[in-house]
Amino acid sequence: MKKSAMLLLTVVVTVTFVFGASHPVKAETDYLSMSWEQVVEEAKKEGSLTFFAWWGEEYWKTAGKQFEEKYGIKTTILIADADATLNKVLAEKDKDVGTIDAMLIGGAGIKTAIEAGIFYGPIQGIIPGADKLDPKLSTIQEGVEVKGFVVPIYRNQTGLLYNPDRVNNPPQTWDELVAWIEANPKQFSFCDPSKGGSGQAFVQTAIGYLAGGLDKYRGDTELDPEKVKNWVDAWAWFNRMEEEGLVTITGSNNESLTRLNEGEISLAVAWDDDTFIAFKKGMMMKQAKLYIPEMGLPGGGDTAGVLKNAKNKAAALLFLAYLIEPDMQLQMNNTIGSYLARTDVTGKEAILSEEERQKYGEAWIPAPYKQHFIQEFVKQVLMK
Amino acid sequence: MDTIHIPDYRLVQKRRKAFRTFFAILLIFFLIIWVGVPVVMAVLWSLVNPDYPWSYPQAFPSHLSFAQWKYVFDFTEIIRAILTSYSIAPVATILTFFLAVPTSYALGRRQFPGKEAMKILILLPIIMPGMVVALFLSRVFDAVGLSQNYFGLVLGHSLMGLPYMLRILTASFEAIPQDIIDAAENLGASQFEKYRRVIVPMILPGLFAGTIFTFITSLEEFNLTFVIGTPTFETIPTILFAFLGYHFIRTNAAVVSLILMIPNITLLFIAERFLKTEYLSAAFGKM
Repeated sequence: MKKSAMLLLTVVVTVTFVFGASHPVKAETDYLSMSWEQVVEEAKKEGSLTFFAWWGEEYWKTAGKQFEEKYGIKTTILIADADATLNKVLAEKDKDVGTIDAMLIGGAGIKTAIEAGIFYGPIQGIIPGADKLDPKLSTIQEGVEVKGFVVPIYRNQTGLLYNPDRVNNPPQTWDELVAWIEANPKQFSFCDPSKGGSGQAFVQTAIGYLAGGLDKYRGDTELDPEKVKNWVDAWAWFNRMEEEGLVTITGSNNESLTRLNEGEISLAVAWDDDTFIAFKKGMMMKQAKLYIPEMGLPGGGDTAGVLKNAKNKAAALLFLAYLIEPDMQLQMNNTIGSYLARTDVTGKEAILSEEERQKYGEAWIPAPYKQHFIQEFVKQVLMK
Repeated sequence: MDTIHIPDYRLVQKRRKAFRTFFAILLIFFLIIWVGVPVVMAVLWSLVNPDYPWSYPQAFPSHLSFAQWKYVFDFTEIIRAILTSYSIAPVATILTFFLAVPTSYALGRRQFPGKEAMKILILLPIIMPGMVVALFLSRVFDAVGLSQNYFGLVLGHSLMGLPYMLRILTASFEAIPQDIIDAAENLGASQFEKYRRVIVPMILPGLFAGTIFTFITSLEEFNLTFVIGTPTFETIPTILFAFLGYHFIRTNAAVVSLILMIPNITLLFIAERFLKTEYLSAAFGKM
């Protein structure tokens, strides 16, 4: 018995060692210093590609097929949960060759992704047309400096979504919003900032108005404890709202939309792309309207990058270049309503206008502050 | 003179019947709330016509259509996922059965040091968060070349189903009274006869329950499949979780849920016909 157990253990250890050590070490091809024509040639030689996104299958699958027809590169589009995919990519990080070549990355995962160094690059300088993309999102995604490792694919923006049957004069300024909340208990909703970006957008805005503006945080790469001392004023305001039962805090971006559609609330902080999809799928009352209040709300967008251990890096680079071509950006805009990352082309399908975005769209404060307010909100408001 | 009180048995019986009826109605009521309402809601959401949103104050959607179903079939790999899921689950269940029977027999009928600790250890895969188990196991699977292949997925699903099969089968083996086995031996039953006529019939309901649980666990397994199987393999939960994730699309999630749920509910009804309550309670209550 002992002998066979030892034998089994030896086999397992040997197999593990053999397989673990058997990955051939390939000489790394440097696509970053190649000409774009060479990258395209290399991409065709690679002949296949796997791209991950977590939503909008209607667009990605069609774009994948079109790319395949144009370049003869077999394109596999994987639509899957974003958190699970990031976990998978992190688990595969130390492998010589991973299973995903390129991926869409959102605000929730960008900090982890950049810090873990999962992306190949910097790629912004070599992808044709990358200079036509929104410069703000090309530099910073939800408070995180992306250092050229990802390219913007689409922009998104938070706004106030309301039911016009119940909200006659939608609030525009912070004071108007507070007055509206106080006059309509439980009718205003935002999500727990640890569960969704729309909640983060509202908490950031509240900090801006209750703790002396947002400009003082811009440009900081680390958290300055002095600058967050007066956030207690913001937490006191949120606590009062909670104690007096004036606001509804939901568990996700989409729960706010669901509750508005079901008539439980009348005004909610929401993302424009979530709202567009809700309209398109029959999950949102037709009369609902979204706007960016004059007080401003943050917006950003989602980006995509090539993974450092991608098997088909050239094909992945070519696919990203394809996704930011003007025609593809317009096709994306028409299909899933996402707002174009290119600034030189204007799309049709948009709940919010370019003018509104430029005028009232705010930038996110740097990531260390954003992360801090998410943690503090949970501690100072939700757990009290 | 004291009067002797004779209970009116008809009245007692009547009260008992009323009591039973009351609890039966209560049970049905809660079952409708817990099981019926979510299923009906899923069906309704899956049939919402995108041009006519289901919104307040409508109690039911004003127009129904199969547009959401068509979308799922047009833009996801659902058919391939169904085929993959149903080609892994039966094989994983059979493998689990072969791995579980000897272990359960040892745990249920034999005494050895560390038995109780082992019973807890085998539950670890279901106690730990799924993604944690998946991430650790993926390293092992990678190392031995079992990532991105069918056998790796079958083995992974077997590992995830094993705790259920082991727990139920161990309880079934434990529940066999030694007297019956002794009686069979005294009456001259051979070792083979003893297994065929005594042990196997007595563990059959447990075996059936274990099989159903393992099969369903395999069909619903997401984390490990995702980490070691995608992008080569996509199963039904991979598609479901995409709709349930950051961009929660309730209508399409309802469609995929129903695709996943309907065969599972059918299987549970079949299991219900074969199982006896006391075996199920033994399976969950003992150990």
